[in-house]
Amino acid sequence: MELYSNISHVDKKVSRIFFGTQSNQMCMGQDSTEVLDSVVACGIQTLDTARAYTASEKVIGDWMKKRGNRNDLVILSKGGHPSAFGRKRINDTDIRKDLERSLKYLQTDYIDIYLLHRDDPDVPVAEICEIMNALHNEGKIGAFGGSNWSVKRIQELNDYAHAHDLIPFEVSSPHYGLAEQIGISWDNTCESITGAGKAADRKWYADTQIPVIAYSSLGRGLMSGKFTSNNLDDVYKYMDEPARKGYAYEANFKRLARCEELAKEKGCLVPQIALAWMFYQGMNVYSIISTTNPERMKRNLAALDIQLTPEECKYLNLED
Amino acid sequence: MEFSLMTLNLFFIIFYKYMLLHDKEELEENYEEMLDVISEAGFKYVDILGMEVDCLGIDYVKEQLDKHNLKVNSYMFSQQFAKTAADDAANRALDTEIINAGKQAVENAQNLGTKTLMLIPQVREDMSGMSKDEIHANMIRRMTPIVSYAKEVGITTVIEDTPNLQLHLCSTEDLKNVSAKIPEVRIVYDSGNMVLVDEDPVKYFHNFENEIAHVHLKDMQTTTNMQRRPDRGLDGRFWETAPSGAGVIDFKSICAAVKNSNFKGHPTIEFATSPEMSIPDALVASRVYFEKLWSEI
Repeated sequence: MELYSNISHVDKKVSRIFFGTQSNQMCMGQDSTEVLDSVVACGIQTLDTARAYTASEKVIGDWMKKRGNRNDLVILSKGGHPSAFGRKRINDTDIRKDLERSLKYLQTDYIDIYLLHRDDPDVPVAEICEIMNALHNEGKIGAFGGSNWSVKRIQELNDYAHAHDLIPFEVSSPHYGLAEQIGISWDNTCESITGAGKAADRKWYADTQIPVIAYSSLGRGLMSGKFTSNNLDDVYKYMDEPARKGYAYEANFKRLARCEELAKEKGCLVPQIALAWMFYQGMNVYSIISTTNPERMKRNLAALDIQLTPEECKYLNLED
Repeated sequence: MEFSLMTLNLFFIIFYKYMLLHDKEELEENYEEMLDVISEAGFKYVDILGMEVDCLGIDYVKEQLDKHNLKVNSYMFSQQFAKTAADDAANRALDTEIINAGKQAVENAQNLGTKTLMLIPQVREDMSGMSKDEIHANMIRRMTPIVSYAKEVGITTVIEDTPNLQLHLCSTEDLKNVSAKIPEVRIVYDSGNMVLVDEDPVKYFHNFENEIAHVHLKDMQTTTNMQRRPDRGLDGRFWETAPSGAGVIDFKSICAAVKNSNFKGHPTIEFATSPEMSIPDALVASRVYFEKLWSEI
């Protein structure tokens, strides 16, 4: 698979792998020049951030200013996340407030891809569609869409957009990866398209080819290769509480064991197999990967070159 | 009984972001929302932190509290009361700085309309090289003039059995040692801190019954999550605030002891939430839990 692809209303090539900036280092506002330089040097010029990731946008903004490379990068940011006290914020005032702050901290006047970090099903899709189109028409955002939005709501919004000659949601960022999200990692407002119950959603994404910008693609560390299926005690060392709640289950450990087996056969690494699997599912998938180790990021890129047969894909996902 | 709410665990959520980005406008928006949530949860009193006033300014805090019909139950002032500076001259300068800040805290308390000022010793650095006597002497020397100044203007100053064991202020013996040497200082009874030194919360209440001028209702649970910066007990276990009623503290006995004592103020709930409950719901649950217990005694 090619490293770069196109997304409507983004006037640059978009790398299939996004660098996720929700690391402790970046959220805490620590200088991340070294890792950002390394990520870009290996060809990943698409960065994923959000207003809710505390100081991540500021770290990126300071780095872009220092390097003078804003126009070489594709920035994805998100707004409209519920407040720290749980108030829903999908409305014109709060979305604009978040976007203006994102622009300020990123030190830019536009964001290439802008997502609403959560949905609020009580707000009519028409209202949301009009807000996002207005922001696009003002030149502040390029492509837009939803993170953790259900297929049903995206389809409703896009039906409205098409009926009113407006731009629809052109990207979606749910959780997706080989590791099935079995328990609730964060809260029940997050949207995963893994597991048998979400087969219809995956078919919709395959039919529409709307870009799926998948987060937690490696099961929040489960498929990172840091620990092995024959030493599951390390789960507590390498996976935090949300990760364990979401992914530390027998079925996923079995998937991990099969990744290890196939990685050995093909002479590659577990995360490379897990990532490659995503790109063989018939959907238009992009993957957000976060690491503080530039070497590991370079190795992740090799996943794009790994060939998997349909049988191998089924075997990895326990469909044999 | 009208219970008060300590804002600490809510304010820290928004303060963290402010520390990283210094966006005062965003802090103000979040502070207003924090007070909305407290008010909507049915609280009429709050125990607020000096830090709130430092970040937002006293006029703004006052205006917001008035707007939300919230009264201040106590003003909590933190300083490095226990620290020893590099030499005598630096120590004297630190004494002056802390005492002046303490007097300002008295004036802030007055301005906010509360009659209770709590002095909290901070630990910003490792104090393991300091002796208990040295730590106690520093606290007594710096707190005494503040307590005296507060007394002159009708404000009662309270100290508690601080959970950071480096301060040697958690056991009954240590707290009595220090409080006995600060004329007019009174005690804020905290229902959770003494479990760190394996003392019984109800007995602890009775140990200080005649000196208690303020009450904190805090539940406690052990934890292995270091990200929450838990307190370490004498036996090495780590403890954190638990959602009210979910931890190890026997509130039925404690509330009975408080209700039957001379304490006639508003007990303060120290709040914690759980992943299963939203903050607004958890606030209501805390208040309702204590109201029910209180009414059944």
